[in-house]
Amino acid sequence: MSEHLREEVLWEAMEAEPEGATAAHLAGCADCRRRLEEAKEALAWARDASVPEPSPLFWQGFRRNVSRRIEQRERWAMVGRVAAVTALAATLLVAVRVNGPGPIPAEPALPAWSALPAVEDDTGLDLLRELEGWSSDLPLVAASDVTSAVIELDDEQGALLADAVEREFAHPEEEDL
Amino acid sequence: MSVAAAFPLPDHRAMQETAPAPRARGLRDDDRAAIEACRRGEREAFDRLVERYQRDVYRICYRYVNDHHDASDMAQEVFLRAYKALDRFRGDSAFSTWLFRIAVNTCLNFRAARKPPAEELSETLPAGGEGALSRLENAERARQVRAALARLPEKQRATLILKTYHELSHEEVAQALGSTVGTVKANLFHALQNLRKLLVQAPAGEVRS
Repeated sequence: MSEHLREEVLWEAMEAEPEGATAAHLAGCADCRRRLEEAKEALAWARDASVPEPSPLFWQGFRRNVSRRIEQRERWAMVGRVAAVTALAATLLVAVRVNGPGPIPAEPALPAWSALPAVEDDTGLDLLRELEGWSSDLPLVAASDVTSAVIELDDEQGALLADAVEREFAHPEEEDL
Repeated sequence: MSVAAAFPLPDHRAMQETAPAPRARGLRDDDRAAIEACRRGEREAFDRLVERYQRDVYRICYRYVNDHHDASDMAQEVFLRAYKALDRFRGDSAFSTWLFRIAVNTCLNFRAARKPPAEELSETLPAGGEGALSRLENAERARQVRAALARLPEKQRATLILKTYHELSHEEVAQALGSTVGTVKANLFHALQNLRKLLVQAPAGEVRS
């Protein structure tokens, strides 16, 4: 007699009618036949062993509990994320405090080529004071305000201003012409 | 208070086991829809999955530990783990196969965390003679079989539970247990041999899980 059938083959013999070499072996081997029959018997017992069915009330509570535990976990996960972000922010704050904020950059000075002179050096203001209707009581204004005022002049006032500027800055050689 | 404590054990003898959820070889359309809804943040969709598979998962756990309270807690844990891992479910298998694998792993972890476990049967037992099993009434025999089942070696128990009670194919059991089809078949046969030996050796009423 050859070696006994392996467990894998015996299981297959339980699921379907054995054929070929397996059938031939079983026909001649009482030991393998006995093992097969005993396993079939145990399978029948196992199939009969049902699990008691809990009540419908149990299943309602079961689902409610699963849902509640999922909510709890999500809430804790959210708390964890917030805590992590807070910890990171606190770490950054401490790091900045320990190392200092660094030098504050100074206000940049007007470049030498700036077209906007300081109020006290703005000769254009004197010119404007001489314009008709100009009140000398008005306070001096910054150059940017003068620019805005010029833009708001109507055509006639603009022409008067242009003439005045031309006279003020006329080249001496041109006057001689 | 746990659900198990809130709802007392049912009368085992009076209740019949209902049929398991319909088995599908691939991912069921309604499972796919529910999973996609879950991924969009619709929690109610997961409730539908729980309702669909709660009995199967509970039964796996029950057969593993042979205790209603423990099975209830473990089954809840299975669904929590599944919810957490849902993004990693690729849909290559039926959702139930994936879920049953989580269930088996949860059972294994549970038992490992509860040392010393119930005395477990060794991989091999000496053959026993005919015992008192035939004299037992059906309900009592079912109780004995459940108790014996809970004492089988881990892999054999998991294999027998998934194949016999949850109608998974050999391939699905192998997938669920990270095993091969050949090993699954061999484990099934070993499990039945050991189950029988355990039952016929024990005098009536003395198979304890």
